[in-house]
Amino acid sequence: MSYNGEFNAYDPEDLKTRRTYRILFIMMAALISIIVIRLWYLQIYMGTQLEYYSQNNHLRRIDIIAPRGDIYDRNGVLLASNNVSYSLYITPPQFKDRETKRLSDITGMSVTDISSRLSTWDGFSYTPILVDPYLSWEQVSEVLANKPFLPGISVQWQTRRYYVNGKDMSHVLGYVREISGGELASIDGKRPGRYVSGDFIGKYGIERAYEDELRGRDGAIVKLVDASGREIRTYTSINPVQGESISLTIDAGLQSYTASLMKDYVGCAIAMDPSTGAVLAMVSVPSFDINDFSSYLTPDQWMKVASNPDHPMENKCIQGTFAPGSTYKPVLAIAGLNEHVITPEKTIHDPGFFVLGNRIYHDWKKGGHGTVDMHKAIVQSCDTYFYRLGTLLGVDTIAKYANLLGFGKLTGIDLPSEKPGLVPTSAWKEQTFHEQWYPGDTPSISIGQGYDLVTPLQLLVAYSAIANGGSIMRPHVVLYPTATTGDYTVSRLGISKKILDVVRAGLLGVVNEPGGTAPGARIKGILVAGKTGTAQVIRESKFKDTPESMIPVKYRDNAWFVAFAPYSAPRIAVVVLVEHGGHGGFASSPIARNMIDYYLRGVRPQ
Amino acid sequence: MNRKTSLLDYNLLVPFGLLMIVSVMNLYSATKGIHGVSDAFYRQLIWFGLGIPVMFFFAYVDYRMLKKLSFAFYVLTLVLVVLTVIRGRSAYGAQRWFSLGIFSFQPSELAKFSILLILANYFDDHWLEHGFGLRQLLVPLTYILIPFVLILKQPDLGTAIIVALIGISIILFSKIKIRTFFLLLTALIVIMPVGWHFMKGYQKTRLLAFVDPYKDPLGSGYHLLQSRIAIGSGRLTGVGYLKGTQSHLNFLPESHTDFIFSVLAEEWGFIGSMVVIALFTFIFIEGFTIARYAKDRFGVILAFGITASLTLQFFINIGMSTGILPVVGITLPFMSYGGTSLLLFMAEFGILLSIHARRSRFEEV
Repeated sequence: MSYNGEFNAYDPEDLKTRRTYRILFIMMAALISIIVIRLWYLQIYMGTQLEYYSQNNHLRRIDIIAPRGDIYDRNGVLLASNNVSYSLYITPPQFKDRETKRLSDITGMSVTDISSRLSTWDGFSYTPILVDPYLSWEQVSEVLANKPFLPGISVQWQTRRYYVNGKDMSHVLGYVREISGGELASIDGKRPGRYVSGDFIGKYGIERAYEDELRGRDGAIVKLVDASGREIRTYTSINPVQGESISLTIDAGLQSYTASLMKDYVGCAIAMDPSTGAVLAMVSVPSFDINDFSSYLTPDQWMKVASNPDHPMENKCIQGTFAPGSTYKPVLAIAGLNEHVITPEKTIHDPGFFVLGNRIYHDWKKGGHGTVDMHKAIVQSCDTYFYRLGTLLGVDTIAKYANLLGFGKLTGIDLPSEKPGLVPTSAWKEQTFHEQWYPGDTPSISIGQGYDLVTPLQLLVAYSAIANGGSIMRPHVVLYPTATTGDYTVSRLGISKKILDVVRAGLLGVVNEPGGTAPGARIKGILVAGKTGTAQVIRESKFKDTPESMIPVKYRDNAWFVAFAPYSAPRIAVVVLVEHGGHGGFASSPIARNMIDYYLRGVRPQ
Repeated sequence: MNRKTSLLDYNLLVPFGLLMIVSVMNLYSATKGIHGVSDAFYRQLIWFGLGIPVMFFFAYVDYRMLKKLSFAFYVLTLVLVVLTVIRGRSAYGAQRWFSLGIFSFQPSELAKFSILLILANYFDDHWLEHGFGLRQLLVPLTYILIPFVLILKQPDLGTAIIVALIGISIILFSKIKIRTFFLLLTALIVIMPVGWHFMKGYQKTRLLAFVDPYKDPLGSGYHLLQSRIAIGSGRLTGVGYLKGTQSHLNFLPESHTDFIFSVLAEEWGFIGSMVVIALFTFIFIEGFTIARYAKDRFGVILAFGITASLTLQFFINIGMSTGILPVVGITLPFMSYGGTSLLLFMAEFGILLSIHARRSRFEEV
């Protein structure tokens, strides 16, 4: 089988041949090296990331949102729980873009809304994307009926927050909403992976303050899917665990009743057990519906709340700061007695005004209160007496006692966004206005005007301390830890019982003695003690001599009333603030009276 | 020593045998769907069965008789390719198949072999010690151009490119004048934009997808991305045999043909990929060594052409799977599913063995 002679022979060892093969092998080695380097890059260097993509491809995780913990009142009345809601998901690779219009008709979402939700898609994963978290039952049936035309669409159910009463305790309970990008970023820094986009988080009130307890542990079903998105089998599953349930110190009955008393006003009311600091009711008006806020809020609904000049979203009890007016007078009384600048028996003559230097400070009562001792000064809320006492004490001594009673700092209540208010001092004025404290500034702050700013809750804490014999309590809304009764004492005043008794007797007189400023707070058979306050709001001088009822509402005085009862062993302390309510004894004291009556005797007068 | 067995080149046959084992195992995995193994696997087994006697037939027959058949074979191939273009079966929108009873086969695969055969014949007859000029290259360039244009017409860009590359590599190997080389290179660069103009829409999108696969991840970039994901997720040791999710859950399209390597890389990882690349490398080195020590110039060019065609397809296929080259539809020799190409590769392997058996040193002994 040989064809000798016809073929060209050659020498495999000749120089040129050698060179040819050397070049050949170098080229081959180069090509092989390129492939090896590329494989190293993909499999070793990029391996982790590409493995993640692979898992993203074939594992579909369906999260099962854990229900949040329930919230109860102090008597076990259910306040917040969960119900089922439906949400719409799209699996982008299966979804036909031309069906966006149909979907828009069914859900009421705009085409651009749907597109922008879909734009978060990474380009190849089959993980369903949440498009509409709040489908009504009617929409669910519409979607299911149209399912043949809507490939890639799925409806999932999950539990969603609902509140038994959406309006009466909005500011205490707060609400939950979808986590924002900013929140997600800041939480991820501390606790990576705890939340994902689309999760709900407590945004306000108890829901926010006790987020960690209330939030459950989400479960998930992980399914193996093929490239067309078909589920092959369940890969693994984790059951969701409901969050801890919480009981509040709030008395739901008192809360609702207080809300009904306050509903026509702007302002707030708080009731607290003065011996423990347990908040029994906390109402801020106007309010907003937390059920609306915890679901899909229409732009109209949002605008209505956001544009309201009375700030419904603000809990005035802890976020609002106001001049305390005459309710501040017991602070000066305690300071004066404790500093021995005055005795209870010492009297002054009140001609209806107080002169300091070349300035005149008027008493609220034209013609004055005549001869006034401390008891009468508190009962009749004599301004002249306290102008004088304040001047004797000086701004910084007043501040010392104000701080002792808890003003100018946070009460420490377990609700977010509390404000500290302001207790002015000479140093503070120096720092803020670069101006010294003039003696002429002191009379105003002595009757709770001028620079003084308090939150209603601070006032209540201070009066509770007077009522309970000298303990500053930390106010709280959650019975926690549930099994034990915690000690919520923050500090002791260190003021003698004798001094506190003088002040308390004055407060009793305010309600129960002739000439007292709050006869409207009297309850037959129960001794109520309290103090009115009428705090000026900034107003134009032209209204100086106009009767209160003739002044436009927004320039009228804020009406305060702080009270506790029963006198001998107080079980409830109450603060009521009616903004622009005029005189405190007139507008606020009946509300406080009714709250106390309801709480102590279950009486609910018409 | 038994003369017949010593004729066999074990440096070639051992890596080849190992590669066959890997190939069958891997193809089994690639064709195994959710509902069992597809027919493709068993069909390929039959092709293997047919291929082994074909390989040994060519190993025992003197390769020098092919020289006389080369022109006839070339013409036959062209006729078949033309017939395919006229009335072929359409697969993926292109006419590549020629039905022949039970089995249909691809004449364009045949062209890869015909071209190296006829060029080996030509350069053996017209050998020039100091390299070829443009005038001497007129005939071989025409040999290349005719099947290239016809196959491009099918259209089968990948095979056309391979045919051209095989031809060009043989020309380069047979020495070309440096001036002519640069002249042809310049011509090629000038022609390229014109070529782009004549390319089909899907061929253009493939090339564009190669430039930026993320631009259209579900369309033309899909193969590229899924292939990269498959290969990368194998990491060092692989996800395990038959456990590759990318192929078994259909994320990787054409996993048993063009993207067969991705299946292997996903399941066996970097280590497995290196083993397969090493086996191929042994085969290439041995193939080129056979070329060098062939008894005559025809054998030299034939063995070089065969090995070069294997190397080129290996590199283009893996380059395509790993995303360093555009997706042009080139299969991986011995590994991808495909009867015609497997049978041809095995015949070519037999020819290599035949050239080795009749090498110069051997006959001198």
